[in-house]
Amino acid sequence: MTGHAITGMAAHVVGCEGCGLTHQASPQQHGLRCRRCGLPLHFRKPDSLNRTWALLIASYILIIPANLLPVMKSSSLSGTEDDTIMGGVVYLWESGSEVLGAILFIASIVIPLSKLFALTYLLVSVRRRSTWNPKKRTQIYRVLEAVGRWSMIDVYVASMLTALVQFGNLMSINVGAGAIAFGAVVVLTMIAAECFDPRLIWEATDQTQATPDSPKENHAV
Amino acid sequence: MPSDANREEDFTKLPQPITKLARNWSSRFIWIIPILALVVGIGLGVKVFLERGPTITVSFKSGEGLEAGKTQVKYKDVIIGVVKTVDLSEDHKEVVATIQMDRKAEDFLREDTHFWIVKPRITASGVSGLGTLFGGSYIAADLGLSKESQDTFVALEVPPILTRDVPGRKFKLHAPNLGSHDIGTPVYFRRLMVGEVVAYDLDKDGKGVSIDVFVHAPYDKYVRSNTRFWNASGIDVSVGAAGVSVQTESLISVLAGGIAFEGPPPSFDANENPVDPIDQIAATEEAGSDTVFKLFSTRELAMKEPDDRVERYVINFKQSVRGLTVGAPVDFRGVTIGEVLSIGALVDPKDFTIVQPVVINLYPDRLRLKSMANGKPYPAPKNEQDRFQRYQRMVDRGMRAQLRTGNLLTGQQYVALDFFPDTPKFTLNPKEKPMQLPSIPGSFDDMEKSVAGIVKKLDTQTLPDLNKTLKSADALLSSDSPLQMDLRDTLRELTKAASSLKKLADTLDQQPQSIIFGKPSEESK
Repeated sequence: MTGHAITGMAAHVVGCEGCGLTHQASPQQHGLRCRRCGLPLHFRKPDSLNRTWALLIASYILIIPANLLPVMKSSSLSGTEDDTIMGGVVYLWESGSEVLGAILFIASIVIPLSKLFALTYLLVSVRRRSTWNPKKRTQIYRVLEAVGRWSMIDVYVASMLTALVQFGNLMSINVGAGAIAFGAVVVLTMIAAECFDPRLIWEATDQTQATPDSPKENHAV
Repeated sequence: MPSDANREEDFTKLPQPITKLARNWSSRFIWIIPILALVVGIGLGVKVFLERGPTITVSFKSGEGLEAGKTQVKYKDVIIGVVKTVDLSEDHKEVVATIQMDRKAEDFLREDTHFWIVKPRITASGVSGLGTLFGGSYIAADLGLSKESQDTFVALEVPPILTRDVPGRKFKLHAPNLGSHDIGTPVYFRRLMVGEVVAYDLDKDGKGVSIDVFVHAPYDKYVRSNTRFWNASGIDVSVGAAGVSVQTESLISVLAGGIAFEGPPPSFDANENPVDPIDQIAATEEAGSDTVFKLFSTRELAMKEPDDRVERYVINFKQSVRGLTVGAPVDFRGVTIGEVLSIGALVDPKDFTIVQPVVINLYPDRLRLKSMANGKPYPAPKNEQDRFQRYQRMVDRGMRAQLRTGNLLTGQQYVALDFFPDTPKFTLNPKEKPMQLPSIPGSFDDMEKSVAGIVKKLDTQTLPDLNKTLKSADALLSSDSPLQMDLRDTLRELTKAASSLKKLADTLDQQPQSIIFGKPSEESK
């Protein structure tokens, strides 16, 4: 299709996300529900920017204790030892396991942080009605959504070790406050990414109609 | 595929959705999440901030066992801090560890708080720090008592034997040398181990050693102001009139040395009645902390009456002082009343008279002069004049110093003070420092003279006689002398007599009746 793109919103058409039935409705109407299955109908994810911002800010706050507080508290005969995420990375790197250290660093520090920054960028760009390369920004969003769950490795490791390594005085590992904060960051950013509506990226472009080659596939159904 | 026009046409045919207004609460309540996160985050931050105590630096001689972020600081095995960084000091002579203390350990920042690394240690008196074999070393702390606060510390090289919370008291012993004592050397009271050596140090002037001993409560109350401390190291074997006696405190003290203390020997009051030991203890006050005591080398020395007064004299001997050593006793009729301090040689350049000045220390209290009248101790001289007059009187009576041989085998000599009534008059010079006491030639000198006389006599008179005697003896003993011949015959006869005696004995043994019935004839056999 060439020329200007018709979105579902512009055509006053909204599809049910549950059963696929399309309805004719105006975006100004509220509380719409599917005629067939009764699921709420949205032209856009409801309250998307607001929710994403809220969850993102919560993540920003929690990532500080997540990195500063110990993730794991291991106590053995030698006494107790608190490990932060960065401490684990440094330990792995210094003890010769550079690959493992790099994996941990990427999964636990690079990905959560880049997720936060990417989501912030998307939100700001939508708010400023940026028209810069919406396709690329949509790709960023897709990567962001796909990669999010891998940050949970750290939490998995900590919780597994906590469950397995319990030998009383000899050796025991407990989850520290940092792990809880870190897990919360990962979950919150996943929900935040879920709340963000990538269709908003295209709205500015649609309104200025400056993108003649905008792909039809990304339109609201 | 329908055309665009068809599709737009289709839009109008689409069904209308149901409208059912629901409360949209999420937009308002979603902001609870970041607020909650903020509260939790601030809460965690405040908790960490509140738990975080002061930072201190401790310098170590070596960084052995120190690991940044891992090595813990413990007090009574409770963690009170952790090493943050380990760095070399600016002059590269020490290792400086920065330690993050816990909030609860804030009052450890005292001037005299001690830090040291705990590692496995094996000493004569025990094994410690075995736990660190598995767990790695840690820094131990001992809370100081000072009111002055400080945040830079120097770690101890060796762990203190005692931490400050152990009840008891510390005393200082002064000794000429350290002997075999070391930190941890036990202290005994009536063979009971009641304390140990906690520190030692050379005196500033290098002339002695101060040894700090700690006596545990409740035994510290037995350390009185007049308590005597002595070296209990090793085995003390003494041979006396009563036989051999072996004294030792315990096997550990034999190996590792030890210090013992005890009260003074039973004393007597002015009327020579023995004082009840309990009263004696009660009469003396308990020694305060850090009281300085003298460490005697043996129990006997420790139990002696202290020599409060010391007088110094010089004795000029005109003969060899070979065999006299510094420290040799000055003896008065078997009682040691002083010791030799130094021995020298002086030559008069005019007439080449050689004298050997021997300086002695005299402890006049050991003489325990008693006046005859009432049995009370004779008072000490009131002043120098009094003292001088007393000695002049004694010298007038014939008091002289003499070198005597203490041991004939080793030739060791001692200085004897005794009275020799028929000696020429001698006037003491009170202006001399030290005052000179008169001497007379020693007994060994006399003996030497008489021995020389005997040898001379032997040489001139006895030897020619002896020669004569030897010659006649030689003639008497030569093989062809009549005496020899006679002797040989006699011996032969004696052998014969012995063999017949043997025969008789055999016969008697076999046939005892022969003594009555006579020897049986050959046929009857």
